[in-house]
Amino acid sequence: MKTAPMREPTYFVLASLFDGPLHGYAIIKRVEEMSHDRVQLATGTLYTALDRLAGEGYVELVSEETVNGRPRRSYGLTNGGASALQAEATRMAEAASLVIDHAAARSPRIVSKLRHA
Amino acid sequence: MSAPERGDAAEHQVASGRQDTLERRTRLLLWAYPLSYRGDRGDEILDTLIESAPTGRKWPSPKDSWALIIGGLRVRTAQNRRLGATANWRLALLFALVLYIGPQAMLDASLTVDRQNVLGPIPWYAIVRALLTLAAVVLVWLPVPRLAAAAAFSVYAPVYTQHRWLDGAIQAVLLILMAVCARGRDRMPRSWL
Repeated sequence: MKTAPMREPTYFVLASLFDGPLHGYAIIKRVEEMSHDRVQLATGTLYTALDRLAGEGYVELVSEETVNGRPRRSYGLTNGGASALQAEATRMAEAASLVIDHAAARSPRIVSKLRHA
Repeated sequence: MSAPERGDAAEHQVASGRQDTLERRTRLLLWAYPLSYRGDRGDEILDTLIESAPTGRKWPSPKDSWALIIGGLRVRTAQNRRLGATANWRLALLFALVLYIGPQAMLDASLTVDRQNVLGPIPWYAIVRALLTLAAVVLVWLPVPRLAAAAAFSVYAPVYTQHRWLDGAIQAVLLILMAVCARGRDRMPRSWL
């Protein structure tokens, strides 16, 4: 299935659930950690993303418990979500390898050019 | 209780007081979301936001506030899209009318008070008019039976015509629009507030 490239927060939200279901705050923390603090989700953004991903069938409500009298819901990746994540990772790896492989192939020449100069 | 313990308790109280403030202010922002969504997700969103806010914060960060407002509007947009075009036009019109008539009512009330200062006793119809305007705004704004809103406006319109025919004509048009809007009210979701 061909889909448009994912936006970065979406990608990281899905990736954060790769190891198992998490609740809202844990997702924010995990995304921060995985992206080395680059992607810092605002709470509103997270829930907008979760709603959309649930609508697309990528994420589902896994459990609901009550902590301090308040509901705490955990969200998990569906099979569809896992394969979409995989597809996106592959797409990015291919795009990245264009540059990385090219740079690796070119750098000896650059190095030799510099030597001759 | 020893002194340090008391200090801890006081500190804890201050901290939880701050958290209450943050909670209260965040709850205001949650109004961006429709009622049904707030009922379902409000507490969860609130908890996540409070948990992710640094301790001692009294206001949600600008980024969080913005995200909540945008998130709320997105949910509303999605909800409105499901309603269909006719219902949306009606909703928009109703909203515009409330926005127009609300300030009008306040202006009425203040003119009435001015007149009292200049000319003595307030004429009865001015009081009726001001009260009915306010009542109509409230009735239309709140999800009440459509007849209540229509009735308030039908008394209000003729009262207005005692002054200037133009006012009367405008009010009559508003009344008709309002009645048309209010007619479809029960088919509208009550959650749009």
